[in-house]
Amino acid sequence: MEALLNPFFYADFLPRLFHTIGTSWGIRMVCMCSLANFFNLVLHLILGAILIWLMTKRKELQQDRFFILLLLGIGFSGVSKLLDWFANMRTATGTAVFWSNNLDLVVEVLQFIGIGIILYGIVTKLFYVHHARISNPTND
Amino acid sequence: MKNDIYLKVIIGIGIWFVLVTIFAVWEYSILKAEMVLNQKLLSHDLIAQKGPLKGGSPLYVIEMLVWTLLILALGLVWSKVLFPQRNLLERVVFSLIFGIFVMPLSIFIPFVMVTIGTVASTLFGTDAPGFIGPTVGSIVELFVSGQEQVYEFANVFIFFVIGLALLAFKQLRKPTPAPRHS
Repeated sequence: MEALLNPFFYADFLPRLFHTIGTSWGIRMVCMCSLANFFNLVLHLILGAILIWLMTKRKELQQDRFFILLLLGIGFSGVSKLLDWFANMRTATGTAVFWSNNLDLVVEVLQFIGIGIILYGIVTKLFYVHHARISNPTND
Repeated sequence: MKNDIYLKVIIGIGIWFVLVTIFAVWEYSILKAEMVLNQKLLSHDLIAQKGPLKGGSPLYVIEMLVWTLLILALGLVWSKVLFPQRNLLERVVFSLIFGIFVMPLSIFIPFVMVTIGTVASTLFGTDAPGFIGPTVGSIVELFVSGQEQVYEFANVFIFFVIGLALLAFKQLRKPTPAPRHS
């Protein structure tokens, strides 16, 4: 397994240019996870906007628990990404690494709650059993 | 939309990230290791060596937008290969997701393998597999020496080149329309 995983640590084989770009541009951006957080944030905004647009267009969706849970989950997850991105920005524009264990835990907890809500919404939607109303037999 | 794999690819990437988040981030020892790692990073402090970003947050956002454009280029090339019939908004959404997937891929694969090994050995009450120690060492070394971004940049570049090659191959294989006979 070690031999299988070793090729993933291939930095020594890269041309000098990659190291120069990665350690200058990258360090200024702190870690590139800040970029991933930024993309994530943009995606959350796009998905949230589409959901809100759908829910305003079709009123019946406002009563649908699945869409409400989806929007709530996206909200939690989006705030988590925003905080994470903010911490990265503080480091990039400051003179030292901005790190807070508490903030990191808040970020992870919010993300976890967001994923939990979305998964709960999806699972309950998938396994929802529609109980057909049994009509009373009539005499006519 | 016959044979369209758009949703399958996006759900596949989503499953990968759920796996990474649940197994890797929330596995206790890894989280503890992350805390230790952060202490090491704080003592090393590459940021202090480089100094603060001159121009503050506006320049930070501009740099981020430039990178976003590069990632969009990567995603648009790959989406042209995988699902050329999809519209621009769908391809942009794919590009952002694909960018997040590609950038840390070569770091996450060993990271996930370490976590699976740790979790499995804990569950079965056996010794941790031999590869865990050296692999964790390599991951910590990677972060402490500030090579995370080098890998992320290299991953994006490699995938971009592969995408361009696939696109070129696809264009070459495309049957040329038969000439019209009047």
